[in-house]
Amino acid sequence: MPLPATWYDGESSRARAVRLGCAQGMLQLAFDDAETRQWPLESVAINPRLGRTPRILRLPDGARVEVADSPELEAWFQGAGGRIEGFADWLERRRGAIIASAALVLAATLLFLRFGMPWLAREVAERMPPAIERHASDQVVAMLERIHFKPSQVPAARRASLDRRFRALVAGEPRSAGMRLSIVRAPGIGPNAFALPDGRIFVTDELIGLAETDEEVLAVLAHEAGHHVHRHGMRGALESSSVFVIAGLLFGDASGSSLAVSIPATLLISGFSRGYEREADAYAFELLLRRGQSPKAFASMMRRLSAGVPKGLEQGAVGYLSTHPPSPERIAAAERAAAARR
Amino acid sequence: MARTGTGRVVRHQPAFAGRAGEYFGIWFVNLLLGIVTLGIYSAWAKVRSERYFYGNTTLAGSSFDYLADPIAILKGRLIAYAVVIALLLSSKFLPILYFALILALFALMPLIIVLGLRFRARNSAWRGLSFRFDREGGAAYGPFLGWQLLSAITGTLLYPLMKLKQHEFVAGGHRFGRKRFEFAGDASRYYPPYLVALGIGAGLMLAFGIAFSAAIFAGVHAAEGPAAQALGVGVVAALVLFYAGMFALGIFLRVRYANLLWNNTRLGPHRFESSLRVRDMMWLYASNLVAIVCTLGLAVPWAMIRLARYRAAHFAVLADGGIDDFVRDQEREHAAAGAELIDALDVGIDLGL
Repeated sequence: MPLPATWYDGESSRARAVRLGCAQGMLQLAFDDAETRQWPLESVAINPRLGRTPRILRLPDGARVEVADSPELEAWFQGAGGRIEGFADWLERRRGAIIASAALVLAATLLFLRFGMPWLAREVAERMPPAIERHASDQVVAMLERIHFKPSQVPAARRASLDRRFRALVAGEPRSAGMRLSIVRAPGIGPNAFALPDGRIFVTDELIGLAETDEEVLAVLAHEAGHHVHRHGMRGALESSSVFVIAGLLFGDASGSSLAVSIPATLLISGFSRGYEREADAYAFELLLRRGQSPKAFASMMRRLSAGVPKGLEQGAVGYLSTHPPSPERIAAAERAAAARR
Repeated sequence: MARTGTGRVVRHQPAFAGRAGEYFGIWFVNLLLGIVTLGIYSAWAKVRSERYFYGNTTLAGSSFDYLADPIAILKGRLIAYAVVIALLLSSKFLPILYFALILALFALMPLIIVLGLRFRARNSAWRGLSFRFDREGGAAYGPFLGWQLLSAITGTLLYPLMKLKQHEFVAGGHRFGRKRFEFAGDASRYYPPYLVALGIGAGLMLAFGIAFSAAIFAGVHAAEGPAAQALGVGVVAALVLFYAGMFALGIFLRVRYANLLWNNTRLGPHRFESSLRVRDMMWLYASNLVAIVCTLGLAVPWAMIRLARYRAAHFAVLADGGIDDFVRDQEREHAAAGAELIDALDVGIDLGL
């Protein structure tokens, strides 16, 4: 049963109709003008099978034959085209294998993002040399000092007392040796506090001004200490990098736009970061309770901080995209922690 | 206009026969084997994907063929991943190294683009003949660095001229067999799409600026109640509209310039016709995006197939005389690293057949 095919001489773009046959280990080509040629099958290379794409035969003289895929070709060229692609083709033709592949890929991706990557980031972060933590933090501080930081106007005595009370609060805690408190004025940032990967913790004059008591400031600092204890800076940096790598691997050349990749990746990263905030909050409540202070101070500080923010920004879509959990949730958690003591 | 042609023009339109259901299987088997082999299989996966799209595209009764060797792609891929990982890590931890790497990549980018074009052209074949890209790496520094800088310095006012020079370089550097592609575009056609995009973009920025400051102002005065709720929604809506507008403008420019590239290119007496429509492409990209996000990526194969089908349906070769007289040229080998780096850094040059 000869197969209709097209023959190209390899020297020009001329196409000639040809019929393919096979007998006694020879591939036979019969042209329309009754000319025939034949080649030993083992001297002919065939491209691997792939869906219903045409098969291309490469003849020893440089000519090519294009032929629609058909079962005869598999019978003539058994096992030709490579074992790797042969196995892929075998899988691609089985509905069950395809559905299982899709399910396994989805499951593997979700499991890795949920468990594998956070674990990996934690392991790597714990082995990160302090020099790198310091270097990364220096860069951030240099930038902030140029743009935002100004000398604090909080009285020196209050600063010294806050520093003393902060050191007493974290004394004996893991990684507390690296923690250093800096108080700066930052009108461009407003009331805020943050921890850098090497343990430097910054709190702004604006936040201290907003607080009614030192306990409220200390509650926020306990939260920042939690970020340092759990190495959130490094872990976050590692995770956000790898989310983009993975999203790029899965969807890279697929969607025709990087937007399809960046939306889920952004949602995932802010999801991780909300997880960190909750972890730091939980650490802070526990530390405050151990030191005989009430997490209520944290709740009242959060309430005061979120009073300046329009409510609409906290809820709904914005709240979901935000890197921090909604304030009402954090306030409620602090009050639950305070109530649990009694 | 025809120089060596017979004056008898035949319109050949490519046909794309790929099917989403079939490609779904190939795509997920590719991903699974890629995961199981910790990424090594991804080079074979790339070849199978490309071959699927090439092989299912037929022009004048003959399909295209993708010839790249997976091992060459694997090597390129390893280099590209090393560079990307170095970039990602250094951006977080060693800004000085990051700066040096970015600078080096920036300086090497024209060379990488040429390597990528060479690799792709050499591994693309039709009727047993390969394409070629034969411009030297150094020649790319004008269109892909010099003009890029000029465009940046002039606040993108020279962007259309930069595109023109780049198209001249890319199209004019290709050959099929021994025949060279020729490009003859001019600025009078490259400026209108840019000016339209510039105008719409400026209007969008202004509207966004007004809406955002109004929202902030209103927010200061309405800290409670439904007004504040509406404000949050309003801010998100403004942001979404802004990004959607920028997305649409990007597609608009890409589509118009892709059409200009092909419509100003000829191969001997033969011409090309690209009639991609902006609103069709916006719909395709937007609906692909929604489908991919909503199905957690399951719709990726479907999205790729429908894009390829649309592209094929809006392309044609206007052949003047026969298309049987292209003749083979001698072969040369080039490494795959360029092509892979371009993929990884997402600066691929879209000639989109």
